[in-house]
Amino acid sequence: MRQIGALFALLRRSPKASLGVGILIVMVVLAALHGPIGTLMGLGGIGAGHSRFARHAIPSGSGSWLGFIGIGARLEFASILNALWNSLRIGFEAGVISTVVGVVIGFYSAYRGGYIDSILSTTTDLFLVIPAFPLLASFAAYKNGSTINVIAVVLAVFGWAVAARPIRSHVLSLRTRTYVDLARTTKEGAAEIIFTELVPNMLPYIAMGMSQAIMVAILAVIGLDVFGLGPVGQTDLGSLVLGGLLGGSLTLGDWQPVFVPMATVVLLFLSLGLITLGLEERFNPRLQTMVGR
Amino acid sequence: MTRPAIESSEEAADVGLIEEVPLTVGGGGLRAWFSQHGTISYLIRRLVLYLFTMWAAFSATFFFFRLIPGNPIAHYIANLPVTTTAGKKLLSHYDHAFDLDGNAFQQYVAYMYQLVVKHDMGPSLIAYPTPSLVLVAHSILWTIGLLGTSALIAWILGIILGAFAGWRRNSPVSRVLTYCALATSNLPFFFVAIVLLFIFAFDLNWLPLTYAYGPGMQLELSLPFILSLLNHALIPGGALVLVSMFTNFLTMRQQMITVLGEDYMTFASAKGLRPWHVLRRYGMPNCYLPQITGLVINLGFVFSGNIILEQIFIYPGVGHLLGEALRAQDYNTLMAITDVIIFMVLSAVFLIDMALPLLDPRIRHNR
Repeated sequence: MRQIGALFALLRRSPKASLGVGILIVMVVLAALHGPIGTLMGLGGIGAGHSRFARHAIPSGSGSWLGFIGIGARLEFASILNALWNSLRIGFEAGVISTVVGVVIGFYSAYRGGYIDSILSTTTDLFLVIPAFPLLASFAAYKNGSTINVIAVVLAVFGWAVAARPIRSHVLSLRTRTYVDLARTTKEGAAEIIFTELVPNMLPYIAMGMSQAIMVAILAVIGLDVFGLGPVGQTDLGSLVLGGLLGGSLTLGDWQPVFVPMATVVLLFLSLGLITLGLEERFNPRLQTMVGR
Repeated sequence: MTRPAIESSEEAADVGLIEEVPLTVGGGGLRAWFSQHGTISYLIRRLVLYLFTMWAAFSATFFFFRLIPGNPIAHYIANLPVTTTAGKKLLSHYDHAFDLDGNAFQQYVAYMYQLVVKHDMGPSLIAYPTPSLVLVAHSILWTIGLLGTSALIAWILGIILGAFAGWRRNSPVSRVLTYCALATSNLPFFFVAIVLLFIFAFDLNWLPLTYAYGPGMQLELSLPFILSLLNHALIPGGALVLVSMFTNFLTMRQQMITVLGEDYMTFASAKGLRPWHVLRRYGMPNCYLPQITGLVINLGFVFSGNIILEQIFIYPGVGHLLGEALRAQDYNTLMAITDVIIFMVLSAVFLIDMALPLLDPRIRHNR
């Protein structure tokens, strides 16, 4: 509880992080409500049409302010929310799994030291070297239709090392601090020291790593969509962008179907980026004067 | 205050890691020799680590592909337009050609033998019997041409702008640049590329849509061809430059701000040197090193982003090849692509590590 309180205090002191969290919460809530919003709108006439294509082919008044996917099909606000929800699901699932695995391995490796540390850190370096994307894409191609959960797990398999590396080096510096020595002399176990002494000190750092992992995961799935290998039967933001591109929206001068989902991704990344930046500034005193001073 | 502690422990960890490499063959004489020849012993250790990591990464890739169920030959035959039932003899011939004989371990030994001795990664499926490595070698030239050039431009621009923004932190130009960088540096390359495409190719009609050169052109060293090449590279290259420039910009700016607080900077200004001279001779050289290592560390990430960009622009590089190989489930080519990326990234890191003492006299490899 104390840690959550501290996290709130941190947010209050960092306007950037709180702005990021605010945007993120609004997006998550809207995305979670994609079902009810779709029904409420009756999946129809959201606004007056101002797409060039609409003026030519479809009688006035039946347009959509989000433009058209291909010929005749409209891009709806609710379908963007649905796609956002799916993207968020992949991002959070992969982000949480890879961060948890990375944190456990990073902590254990640095705390134990010795040969366990060298085996684990060599493995970590190995996973950092192997390019995740070609392997992920190959897996998706062979699997011939992966669900969101499967993709999230595969992403985490390749993503945990990104979190493990910096956490290990932070723990290496933390574990020689006096309060850890004190805990050790009072005969606290390794697990107890890790969870009561070290983890609380690393929380902002872990949150930072997680928001980065979420971005990487969302980006990787967008990459899969480019190759037509995204989650089967589920639309995410990447497949909306690709749908707009391949449906010829740009050729028809209709920018919304491509640019609106893209702007949604950008907004999402901006909020995650603000959180990362805000936390980093609080965490690293040298950077506190970084922007605009 | 916390920063130096973290850095030194990170360094300590790296030394520990290098020392764990199973190179020390025992003998006290050998150990003594190594301690006397610091640089050479570091070189050897680093080389062994490089080769070991490469072997481990190649093996991991190999078993990853073998763990995926399904036989590419069977898939290929099943997807032929004509329904055929292939004879046993035919199947076993191709199984042999693609190194699919025996169990996974036998396949692994055959693959590694072939790779180390013949520098071959098996035939490709999309252009059988062209070796997959040849396909990758052809396409990687395009990728290196596009990616290398734009990464270099982005790196130089990022350093110059970043140094300026760190140096003149209060000027409105720096602020605008910083906020642009914060918004841009996290974006996928191809988002920026699509925006550029829409503006310059669709709306203004100034630049071509896709591919690397104009239709009906031959690969040759002539002025029109080179012009067409540059013209086609402007949008994808521009997107790469824009995004990675701002990424470099942010790290360079941070570096610069840290360096500005150092005592030698105050001393240089106190000597009455002109600000421009202080920036160029005292500030910037101390920022180069992290920028160079950053460039190399980001290489793999940039490579992946570039793959997606090439697929969208039908640029004939590795990304496009990856797309074709994925469609045909050509896993020799897929493995070749992955292994070549691993090789390039590891070699770049290795070379930079070797070159660091030349770039920074404070670093010496005799521990």
